This record gives sequence, C-alpha cells and structure tokens, in this order.
Amino acid sequence: MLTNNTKTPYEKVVVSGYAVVPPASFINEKEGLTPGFGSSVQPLSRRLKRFICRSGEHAVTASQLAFSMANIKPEDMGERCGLYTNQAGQQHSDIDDYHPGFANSSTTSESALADLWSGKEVNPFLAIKGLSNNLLGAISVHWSIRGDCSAFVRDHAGAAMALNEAMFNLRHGYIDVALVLTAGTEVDFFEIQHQQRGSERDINCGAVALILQRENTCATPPIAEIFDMKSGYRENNKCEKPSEETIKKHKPSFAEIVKKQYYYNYNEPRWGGIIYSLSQIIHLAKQQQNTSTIDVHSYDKSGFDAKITVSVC
Amino acid sequence: MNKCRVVITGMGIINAFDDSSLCATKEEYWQSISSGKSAVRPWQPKDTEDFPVKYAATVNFDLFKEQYQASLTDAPLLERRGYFGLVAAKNAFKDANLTSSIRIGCATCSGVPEIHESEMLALGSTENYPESLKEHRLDKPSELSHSGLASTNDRMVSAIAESLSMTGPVININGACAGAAQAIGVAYRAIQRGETDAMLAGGADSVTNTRVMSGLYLLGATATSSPKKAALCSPFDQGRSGLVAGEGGAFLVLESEASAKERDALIYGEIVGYGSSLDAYKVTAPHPEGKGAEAAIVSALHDADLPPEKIDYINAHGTSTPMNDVVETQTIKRVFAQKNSSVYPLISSTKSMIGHWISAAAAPEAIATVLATYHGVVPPTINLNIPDVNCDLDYVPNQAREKKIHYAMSNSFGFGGINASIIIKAYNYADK
Repeated sequence: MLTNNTKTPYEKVVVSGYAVVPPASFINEKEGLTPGFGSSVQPLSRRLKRFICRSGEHAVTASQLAFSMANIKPEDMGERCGLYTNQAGQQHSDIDDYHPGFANSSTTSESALADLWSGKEVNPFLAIKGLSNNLLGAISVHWSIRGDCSAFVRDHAGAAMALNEAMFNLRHGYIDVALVLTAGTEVDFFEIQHQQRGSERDINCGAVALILQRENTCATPPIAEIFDMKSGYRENNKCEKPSEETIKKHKPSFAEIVKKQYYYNYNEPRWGGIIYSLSQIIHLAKQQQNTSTIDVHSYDKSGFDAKITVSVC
Repeated sequence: MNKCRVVITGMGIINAFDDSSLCATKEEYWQSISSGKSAVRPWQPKDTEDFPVKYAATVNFDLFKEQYQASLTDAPLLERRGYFGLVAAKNAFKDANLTSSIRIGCATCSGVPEIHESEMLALGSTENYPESLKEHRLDKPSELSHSGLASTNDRMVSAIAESLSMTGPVININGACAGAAQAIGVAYRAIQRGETDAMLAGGADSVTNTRVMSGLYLLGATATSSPKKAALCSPFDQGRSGLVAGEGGAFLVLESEASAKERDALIYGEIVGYGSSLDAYKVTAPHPEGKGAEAAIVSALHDADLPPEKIDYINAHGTSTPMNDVVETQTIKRVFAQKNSSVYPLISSTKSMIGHWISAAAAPEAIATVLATYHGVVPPTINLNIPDVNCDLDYVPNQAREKKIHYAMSNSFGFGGINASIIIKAYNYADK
C-alpha cells in the first residue's frame, strides 16, 4: 500500500544538482545506460582514504559534481545544509584488510583478534571504515556539512528513505539545502561469500548524489521539480521479484517512458536505488528538453515500494 | 503548521542487572534504575584472561534463550543483538495492546556486525588464506553459510517487521551512538507526516565481542581503571576513565494521538521535539566545544517551540569518558543559561547503571526519560562521588529525586560527529 509522504504544506522542492559515479564495469554490464550519464571517479587524498569506506571515492566525486552543478559551497551553508545518506551492499572491511595482521600468527584463540587489532599491520581506522554511518561522518567532515542528518541502511529502500527525509526537512524549513547521497557495492557480504564459490557478480562501488532545495531559496535555475513521493510496504514485507525474462524484456525507450509517464527500472543498482533511476530520468529529459511529468517507481525484495513524481523545469 | 501529535503508548526492554535473572519489563527496569542499581559486572571475552577491558553490563544469553524460547522459535537467524531487539519489540507491542487494525511500522538502528570472527580466526594459521577460509566454511557450514545474512545491517528490523506483519515504514538507521535517537526521531516524523499510525522505534546492540571491544579500546574510548572495579562507569566523576559497554534491546511504541485516543490506549508521554546535527569536525572525536551537540539541542527546542527554561530534566549522553562529560556540561550551560540565574535542569546519566549500549544507547535512555516524566522522579547518576571540577551542574548523584517534570530532554552524541536530541512532554489528558 503506497501512502502519500508529502502531506505537508506545499513548498516546491527542486533538484539543483545531480551526479552518478558508477563502477568502472557498470557501463559495459548494464545495457542501456544513458550516454554521458556516469562520471569517472576522482582519486581521494591519502588522509581521507585512510578513514572513509570503500565507496568513499565515488561518494566524494558524486557530491562534488552535484554541488558544483548546483553552484553551492556547502561549507558556507553551516547548519542549513542537511545530509541524508544510504549505504548499500558490502559495508565492512575486507578479509584482505586483516590478512597482514595474521601473517606471523599461529594462534586460533579469540585473543588473536585482540593482537590483530593492536598490531601495526592493520589500519587502526578499520573500525571506523566498517561503520555503516561512515559515509555520513566522513562526508560531513569533508564538506563541513553541519545540519540535520540521517544515515539509512536498508538496501535499495534506504535511498528512497533518505530522499523522503530530505524532502520533509526542506518543506518544513529545517534546512535550505539537502545532499542526498547513496553509495555502496552491487553485492553484499552474503553474496560475496557465494562469489567465492564461482559467482561472477561485480562487487565494485558506485554512488549517486542529488542536491535538493526549496524553489524559493534556489540561487540557480532549478533542473527539475519533485512533486510528490509515496512509499509503503506490502503485507508481510515480502515482494516477488519479476522473472529474469521480464527484466530482460523491460528496456523502454525514453519516448515510451514519456508516453506512459511511468518508469520502473528493474535493473536499479543497489548502490543507487531510486535516486539512480530518478537521476537517469532527469538527465534524459534535460538532454531532450522534455518537461513531461514522470512517475519513477522502485521496489525491493523486502516488499518496499516507492514512487516519485518528477518533471524537468 | 499543522503537525499531528505523537504520543508514547508502549515500551519494551531486555537487559539484566545481575547474571541470574533478566530485566524484561519496563516496570522492572524503572524499579532498578530509580533505585540506583548497577548492571555492570566483571567481563572478559571468551577464551581470554588478560583483555584490558574487564567490566561490562551483559545479559546472560543462555538464560535469555531459555526464557524466550517460545518467542524465538520461528525467528530467523540473527545476531545476539537481533534476538534482544526482536523480544524487546514484541514486548513493547504487547505493552501497547496494539493490533494489526492500525498501520504500524518500525524504525531501528544498527551497529557494527558482531560475527565473522571465526572466519577471521581461520585466516590466522596459513599463508594461503583464501583456501583456508574455504576449508573453514566447509567445516562449519551451518554456522557460516548464514553468517553474512545474520549480520546484514537491516536484518533485525526485517525480522521485527515480518514477525509483527507490519505494513508501515520499515526503517533502519545507522547513527553510531545517536542511532536509536535518530530512529525515534525519524519514526516521530513519519507519524507526523501521516505515513503511518504507529511506529515501533528503538534499537538493540551488543558490542561484548572481541572485535568491537578491541576497536573501542584502541580508540581510547573504554574504561580500564581497575581500582574502581564495577563502579568504573562514573559519568561526571573526576575519576572516570571511559565508557563501559552494555547490551540489550529497547523499543517504544510511538503513535498518533488520534489513533491512541481512538483505541483508548494508556499514554505514557508525548514526543514534542527532535533535532539532529553533524559536528563536521573529526570522525573519531567530538567537537571540543560541542558545537554539533548544541545545534542538535537547539534544533529540538526549536522543533518543540520551547524556550530552554521549560526543560526540567536532561537524560545526558553522559558516557563517563573524560571528554564527553565536560563538553556536554559546557554545552548545556551555554544553551540553558538564563539571565541573572544559575538554575539549570536536573541532569543524570542512566549509562552509569546500564552501561553504554552504543548504537542502541538512546533507546533505554528514552524509556528512562519517559518514565521519569510519568512518575515524576529523576533517576540518579550512580558512582558519582567527587565531581570533576569542570562538571559543575546537578547530576542527581547516587540517589533518585522526586520532581514534577513537564518537559524532559534525552541527548545522544555519536562517533562521526552525529548528534540527536529528543524532547518528551508529560502527557496531560486534559490538554487539548
């Protein structure tokens, strides 16, 4: 059951910047990726790399490009800029991160773990890097963002929750600018375990950043308006995935999407969720100067459904 | 702006104040914390004798499993904290007399995963570690084939939602030590914007495992001062040396006032304000002047449309770390200073009794805050004998105090500079 999440006094919420930084292999792997849509990752400083999570490089690049498009310097916004993140996929440290610490060890008791953590071979920031709020903390430090915040960790659905929370806080005037940032890997720890047994899935990282503002505080011409957001859960929180055949067949052209005013991306990447699909539609509509209103839909295996209605300005 | 009122109609908790029994109801919990009872006792990781952290507020897990066997029969594979959370959530649901006739969701917090340690240990004895890991997995398929699944961040919230057939928002937050406060805040807002009638909000955590405790120790966060023994969790005391970890699960039922009134539910209190902020300072240390903490407190007061002098009691973050307690005191003094007056709200740290539940810390503290307003009693800060000279407010040392509380605040400040404050109002049935 979808319910309206925007039952609040109407304040126009607009998109003033967006950027997608996909995994390197993504463009080849996912047919139909919008041309010119994804940007390349830019390397981080060694200092930041020491404590930011595995998808941090992608997240920093995406947020930098989105802020630049919106012509916003977040450090000037202080507490008026909010940060809403979603981390998806594999969050935590790799086995490779720990292995140097085991090189000279032959013990198998739990005290070996204490030795491991106190050894010089292992990065002392591993505990910080492994936190699922790492993106929130590290990005806030990097951009000096000090406003309202939430770090969602709910797979695909977390991206919609982050957007939902950002819109609520903008509409109620708690903040003036929101950075909605979703990042992570395509597979999670469980799937990586299976991958060791022969799966060929990509574990590379990706990120999407979206800058939202109220129209009346937007200094640059807005790119798109988000009219409405609805989300909800199916009974018992279970959702049947479409068949592989359905997914394969479902590759609508932009003209078809405009005609139906409806977009359901069955190949929505885990690291981007509905924010990815929303950015994709905005990008296509902007390229083609099409101002149609389109409903962007999303769902995930936990029974979560979301719909965002968007129109390019 | 017409926002719907959000009230508290149920609470559930799982923790332990001794090794031979569980604290499984809000009444037992309130009885313990209002009488200044400590849950902290000797602790060492399994198979370890000289681990530098020697005390924690733990739950006897065997006893817990035995007592809640029926409740856990159909539960999916979860981490230790997941089971605490599932039972605490069910207890809160029951306490509120909820039925599925109204739309209910859930908001929880998650922390650092507990397991994979056995996998890590399997790496220790060989250079050819991928092969060693594979062998270890094959040796223990039942334990490890689900280990990643059990520690998936949102596993607990999914289990709660499935077991209670929820159709409202199912949200998982990771806000470090402010995680449960943010879960409560996000749930409060979801009800305000009409997405749902009620939300179970709170969290569960357990960091009493070698990996996380080693990490906290290396960050210099844990108390290791042995002369204090079980009294070493001593917020605001000059001899405090760091946090003492605790574990458990705690959930509150948040409900729209209209829904609660319609089903004639008992109302324990009302949430009237929520604020969160970021320090943007360092990922491993709070802002030395508490700028982010101040922003969260001010934001919550603004949300509640309250002047600071209306707050009668603050359930402090009060971690017993040398830095937090001074910074929090300074922040409170800045925000709550009144002209020509040295009157401040009463402050206490219930962590002194139950330890620090890390990501879930704000959940038992929110329950303590609601019950303090409900009973008109401020729970004490125990083990506070010689206050730090820089901690010069009234922290209600060692003994609870009766006080009519109209408004109370609960503060939570986490790693990564994530801050959240919640304001609870004593519910007045005559108040329209």
